[in-house]
Amino acid sequence: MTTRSRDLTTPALYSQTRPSRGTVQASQSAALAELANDAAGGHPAQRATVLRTVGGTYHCYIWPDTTAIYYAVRVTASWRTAPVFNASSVTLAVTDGTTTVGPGASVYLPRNLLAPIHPGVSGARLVDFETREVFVQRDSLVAAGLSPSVPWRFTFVVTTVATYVEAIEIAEVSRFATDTADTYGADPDYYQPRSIIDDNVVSIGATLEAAYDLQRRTYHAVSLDEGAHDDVTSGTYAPIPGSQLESAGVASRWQVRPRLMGGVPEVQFGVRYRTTGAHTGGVRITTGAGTYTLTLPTTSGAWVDDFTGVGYLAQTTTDEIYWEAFSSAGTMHIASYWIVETP
Amino acid sequence: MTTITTAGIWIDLPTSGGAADRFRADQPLGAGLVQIASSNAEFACRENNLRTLWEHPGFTDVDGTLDLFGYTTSDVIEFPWDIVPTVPGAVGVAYAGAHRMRGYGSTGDLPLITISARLKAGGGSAGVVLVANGGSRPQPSDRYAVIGSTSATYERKTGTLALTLGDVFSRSIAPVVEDTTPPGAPIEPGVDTIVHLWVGVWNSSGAKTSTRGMTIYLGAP
Repeated sequence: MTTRSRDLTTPALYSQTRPSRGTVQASQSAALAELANDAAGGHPAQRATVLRTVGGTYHCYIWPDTTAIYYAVRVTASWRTAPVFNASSVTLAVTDGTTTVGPGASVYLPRNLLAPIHPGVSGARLVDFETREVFVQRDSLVAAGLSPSVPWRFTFVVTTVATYVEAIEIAEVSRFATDTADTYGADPDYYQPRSIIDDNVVSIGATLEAAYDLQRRTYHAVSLDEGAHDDVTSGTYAPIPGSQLESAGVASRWQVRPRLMGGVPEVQFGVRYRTTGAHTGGVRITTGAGTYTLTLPTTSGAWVDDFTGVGYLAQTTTDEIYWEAFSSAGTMHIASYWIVETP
Repeated sequence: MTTITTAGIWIDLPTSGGAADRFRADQPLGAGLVQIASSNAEFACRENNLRTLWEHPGFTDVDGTLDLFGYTTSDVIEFPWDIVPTVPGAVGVAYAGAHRMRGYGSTGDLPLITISARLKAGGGSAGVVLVANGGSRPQPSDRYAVIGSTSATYERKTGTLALTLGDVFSRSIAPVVEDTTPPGAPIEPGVDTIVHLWVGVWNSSGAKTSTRGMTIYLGAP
């Protein structure tokens, strides 16, 4: 494994300097390699946010099959009703559905996350914000046994004393290196001025493909406290009371920016849910491209992740999404909603 | 002279590593192919950058005004950010997080930070302000955008915030290897550029502002 560090730069390559039938210069290939690296690793787009809370259990989801190898986790806290001694604590567990790392101390997770956060007590809430940022390493979790081929669930358990956790953010981090252990990545150093262009140029094609294929954009990630979930009781598809309801009988509509790489943007979607009894349910999303359903089998009280829904977005610069659900009997609880791109 | 860096679409090339790979060894490398590859890379840099940053189910019946508790101006730049969320008559405040903010490809322009919400006012005017800054309490000098409504029923409102490279802030990233004690040296450290986002919700007259389906995303500049 050989790595070469890189800054986050986006060189401008003008088409006029590369006319058809012209001769390629090594310096041009060096710039192209840098640009391809930036396209592949410079703009990862998966993220999720837990909104202000005084405590609870929250689940966020990320596909580990992109070019990103780190996830930044930021916890921000501030005092709740008065600037008194206080603390916020957050634990993190990550699972692929089979193997789980954490919560609690683990050599595979950043240990700095576990220490309590003590916001300031100056009296101005926003001045007293205290943020802790840690970085979860994908390859550590793979080494711990998690599969990189399925979505990972990041579970945050929040406890507070006289504080709010104002936000928990998780987001993919840009790549700051090329690595020969990856299937992509082009080293600009292979293309020295006045030198020949050798077969290392093969890597540019693979890097461009990574810029297209190994990217996923999170379109929608709503994480509710598992103890304060949305409840579905309608026997037919209807707007979901709670986080997904605009007003009686009207679903909330979320505007997103589809990734327009050619063709109709495809997404996978689903929820973390449970049925209170031995009954089934379903969710569906409606976008500018159509309505797409996901049938949810009974869980008989157990929480289950099901993100196997497949849908599409409109091939336009903005689209609107809304959710609906039904429960064949009893109540279906939903704690998380997730819509992510399928590249 | 107009300069072109991308055709603005993704142009498919034969699969990398396949028999028809244009970049395979011992093949002539024409400038036209490099032109297409450059166009694709620039296009991907632009398009991959545009993403959802934040979403919020919304605020209900916010009756806080801009003149709350000692604030004597109704100017949105004096928004009472420090309000305790639970006090009666509070405005709505949300920290919308820190987000990587990079140029739109090689253009030097930053993507537009776009806030979109379904919004209504049960009297007076409903207002939502989006502020971008370096992470401190929002200040009057910070960049901001406002969306508003006097509608009694929900309507879609969208606003954009155009930043310049002088409005973003550096963040050092040095992830350490944690499976040793003491932790190992950082691998793949680097510096990216970020902005912090804040969202405030108010009503001009102390009536009821409600929002639904709030999203912040990056759009093309």
